[in-house]
Amino acid sequence: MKRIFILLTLALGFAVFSRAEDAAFITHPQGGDASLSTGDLKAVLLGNKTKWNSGGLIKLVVLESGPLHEQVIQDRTQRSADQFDKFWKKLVFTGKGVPPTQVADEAAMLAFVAKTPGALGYVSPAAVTAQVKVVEIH
Amino acid sequence: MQYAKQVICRHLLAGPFAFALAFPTRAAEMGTVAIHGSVSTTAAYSPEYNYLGDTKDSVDLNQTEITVNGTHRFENGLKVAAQLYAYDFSGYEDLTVDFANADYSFRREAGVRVGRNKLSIGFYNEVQDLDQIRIFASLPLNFYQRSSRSFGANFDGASFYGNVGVGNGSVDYQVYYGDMQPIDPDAPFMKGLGASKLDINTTYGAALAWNNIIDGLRVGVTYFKLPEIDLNSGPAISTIDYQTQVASVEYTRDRWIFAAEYKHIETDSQVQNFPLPPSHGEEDHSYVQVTYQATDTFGIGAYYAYSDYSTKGADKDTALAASYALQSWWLVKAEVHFMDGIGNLGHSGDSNPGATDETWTYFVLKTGISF
Repeated sequence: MKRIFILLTLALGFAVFSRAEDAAFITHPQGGDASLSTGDLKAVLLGNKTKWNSGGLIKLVVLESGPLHEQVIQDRTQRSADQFDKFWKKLVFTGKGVPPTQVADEAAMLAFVAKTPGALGYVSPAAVTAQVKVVEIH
Repeated sequence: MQYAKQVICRHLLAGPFAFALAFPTRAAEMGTVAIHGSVSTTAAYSPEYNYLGDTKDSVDLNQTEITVNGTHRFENGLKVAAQLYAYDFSGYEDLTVDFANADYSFRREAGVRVGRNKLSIGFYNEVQDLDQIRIFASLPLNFYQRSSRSFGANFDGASFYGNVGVGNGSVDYQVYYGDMQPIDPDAPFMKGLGASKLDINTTYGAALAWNNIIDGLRVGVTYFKLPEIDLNSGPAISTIDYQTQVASVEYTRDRWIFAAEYKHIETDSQVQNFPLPPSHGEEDHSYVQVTYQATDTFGIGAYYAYSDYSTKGADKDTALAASYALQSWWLVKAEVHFMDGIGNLGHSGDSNPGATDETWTYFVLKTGISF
């Protein structure tokens, strides 16, 4: 029984660790916050929070599609990528939001964030470069 | 003035079509203004009755809609947005400024939106024209009546709103105050009402929604008040106090979306130019709906709606729908309504002399593109 408990704990810990490492949220090296709460991150992704806690506009950028995009959107907003697109369409067609910038791939994401103060995007952890700053999500 | 609007309408039909076909898969960026839009057309048929058009025994292209909007956020956080909505509904054409507002969010919990704003009544009134985000071509017909669109699409005034984190979820709130535009005497809604003048005047209300009480569950309530409507109907000149309360629930799980809403309407009327006693009317509307997005391109849905009018009995509507995406930006939809009741048959001024049969069917086909 004790062995099973230890195995379950390890498995759960690995699962949590894996999820946390699935994506790195990145911003421009100058500006942006060092960290965001999960609640604030969700509020940003759903258009409710538009400013950094330290000041300045958050310029949200998302991938157009792909496994990383689907996982980030599902994990952080509890919506599928399709539901996320429809949610934003609803905001745009009711005058309530500025849609996120969409980029084709992680290279384009890194390039956009590196040149855009206030940008907030995501890439796989291994793709992070010195041109961007990682935002801790807690 | 109406003729000029119609001419502009017709020209607007061509522009966005061409634009959408040229840039079908994504929104356009003009400088830093994000441009989005949609174009759709609807056909309807009923073996029994004319409903929202000349639908009896013939297919009627009873609705064409064109929407174009632009949004820009300045570096100081001020957002400006505007949307034009041109439509042909049951032979009536109009071009409207659907919204045009300046919006400033002080922080996540507090913002203000000033100008022409969309009206929040229930979960879906604001998006009644936006079928791209749902399986059904139309929202439940008696709950969100198409001919009443001009009676509750938008208002001119101010809205205070915010989003407050609560536990694992959040609460959206909105309170608003303003004026609504008079309704054109030629509009289908006015024909159904038999009215020559309807000035809605002041409106105020509030909306509250609690998101993610548990994963995927959203509940909300809205209150909508029109305290001083001026109505000329035949020889009578009346003042009406109108109010609506709506309770809504929506649950999303994987590819399923369950929704249910209940709406209660009360009207108090006083005829001003004849010595008549004041009158009181009530309506109750409700529906339950389920949709399933079976694949990335194909979805199905069903709903059952029940409307109870204090003066004209009850209407029931059982609807089935299917939606297919030919492209991510191009949808085709089909739906059928099995109706039981004719209390609301003449709401948009359709002519059905001698109508007595309570059971009838109504078919809808719709296609639309968006960018």
